[in-house]
Amino acid sequence: MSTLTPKIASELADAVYQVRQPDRTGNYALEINPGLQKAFNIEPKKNLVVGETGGFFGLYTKKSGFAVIGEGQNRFRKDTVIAVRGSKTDADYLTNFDVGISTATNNQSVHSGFEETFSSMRPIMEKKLQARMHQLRGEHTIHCVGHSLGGALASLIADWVKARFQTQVKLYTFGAPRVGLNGYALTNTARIDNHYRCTHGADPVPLVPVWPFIHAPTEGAGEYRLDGAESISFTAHSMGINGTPGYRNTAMADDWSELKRQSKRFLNQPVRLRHEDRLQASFTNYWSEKLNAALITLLKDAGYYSALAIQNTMSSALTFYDRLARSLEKIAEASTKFAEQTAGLLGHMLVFAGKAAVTVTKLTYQFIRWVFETTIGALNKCVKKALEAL
Amino acid sequence: MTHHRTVASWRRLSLIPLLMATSYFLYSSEVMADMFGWFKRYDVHLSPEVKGRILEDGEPIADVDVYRELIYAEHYMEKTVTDSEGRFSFPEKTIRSREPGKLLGVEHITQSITADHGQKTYLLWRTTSTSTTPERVIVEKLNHMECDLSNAETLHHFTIAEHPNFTHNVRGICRWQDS
Repeated sequence: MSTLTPKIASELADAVYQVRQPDRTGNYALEINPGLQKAFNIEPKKNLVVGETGGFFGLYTKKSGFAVIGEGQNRFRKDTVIAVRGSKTDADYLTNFDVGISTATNNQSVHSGFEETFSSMRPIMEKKLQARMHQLRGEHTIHCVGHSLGGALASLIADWVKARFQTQVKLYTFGAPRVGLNGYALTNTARIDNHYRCTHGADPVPLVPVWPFIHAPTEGAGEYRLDGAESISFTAHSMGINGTPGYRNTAMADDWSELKRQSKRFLNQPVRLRHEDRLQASFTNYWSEKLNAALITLLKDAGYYSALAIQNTMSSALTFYDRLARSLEKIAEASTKFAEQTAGLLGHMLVFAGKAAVTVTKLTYQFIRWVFETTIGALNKCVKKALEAL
Repeated sequence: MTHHRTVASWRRLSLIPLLMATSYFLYSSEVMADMFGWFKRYDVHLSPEVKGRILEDGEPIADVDVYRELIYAEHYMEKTVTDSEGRFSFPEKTIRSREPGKLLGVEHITQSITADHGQKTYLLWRTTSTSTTPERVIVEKLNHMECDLSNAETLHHFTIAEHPNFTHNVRGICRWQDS
């Protein structure tokens, strides 16, 4: 069973952006370098997955390439790659506070926007993959690759491919957002044979959508943190070689063992924050993770965690935050200790969101909900700008 | 120990956080926009000057329609016609764009140069880059293109002068004496 090198995986994730628009003759660009050319045949004439974008009420829609399916050659002759790019429409889904939640092919809750885009691509992908499976019998690996929103789609594709074709499936993502809730992350972790989730410390996109969305893989050190930066900056999301630092540059390795793995810093570690320490918070990846852990700790301390985490009836993230704010109001009313812990969390969240001037006064449902909206809003605003024109 | 001030008339004051939220949102988004340059326009170099010659089995051909398409956030297309010596050219193309200020806006620029002769369309040059400034090798190659319509389309790989670990991947029928 072969694995794509970080170099080849990042080249594919970058190259698939070329097919976004055809030229006047209807041809799509896809010029790749010698290494990738030797490994996979991804000539767009045969292997392009085209979708329709834009237009009001279906008028003026234009054709646009979303993914390429590549047939392996030489040492990858028993392999197939699916490289996916993100689209602007998904950017709107991603940064909407009222994230819709729908059911993926594995019966788990995922982001409805991603699921919708994936569903539109599925029939053509199924047809192409079926032909490929027919041609190749026996041992076979499908590699799913994508940057940004293309990474989120690659995750859904990988999950579906594993169930549909019963082959080996490997997933490689660069700066991808979270795709689903806990159930999806667990199923996805268990199903996919190898998972290479690459991030930059300063890339804001992997930080959204916020909890209850969870990254897969949930176990082990599945995250490859390709640089040492911490302070959130949109340039860190770039894929190309001219980016700062640019995933093509940081993933220039021939083996995954050469790249640094990031263990989950706050996984299962209790984090309790005191209101007077709130000015230590900053708009960084570190604090985004720490606030997440502090919220989970508070819910666990107060015995509300399991009830909230296993919500299956939830229709959107908005209803989730509504319930969360109501729960926190009750928690704060329960004891002085919990009130302080809640105030500590909210105070840090406000500083994180650049609202240090706001004092935490009464811990009401309205106020708590506003703090969540503000914090998530700060992250979303950053991400929205970052993704605006993909 | 922290004391949480009780606001007695909370209900009447409930508009305050709403107003605060609105004003903070407007204020901070403007400040942030300015700070990160989201509203600024930047120079984006889409193509250097293009100069070339169209031949058929070594003989120059006149009156061939040549198109240059540049695909970035938008699609730009220009057309020219070869002269009696088969020569064609396009000027340098630089646009003002907000994309680089979005920083993660559109990254990829595709250049495509095609020619129509008889019933056929020939691909002279196509490549994609993420650089918003001129790249040395691309400038050199586009400055003297020898395009014989009898050549087969090839995928050329030229080392990127500014990033020697990577290659420009160029497809087309053009050839250069030095490569």
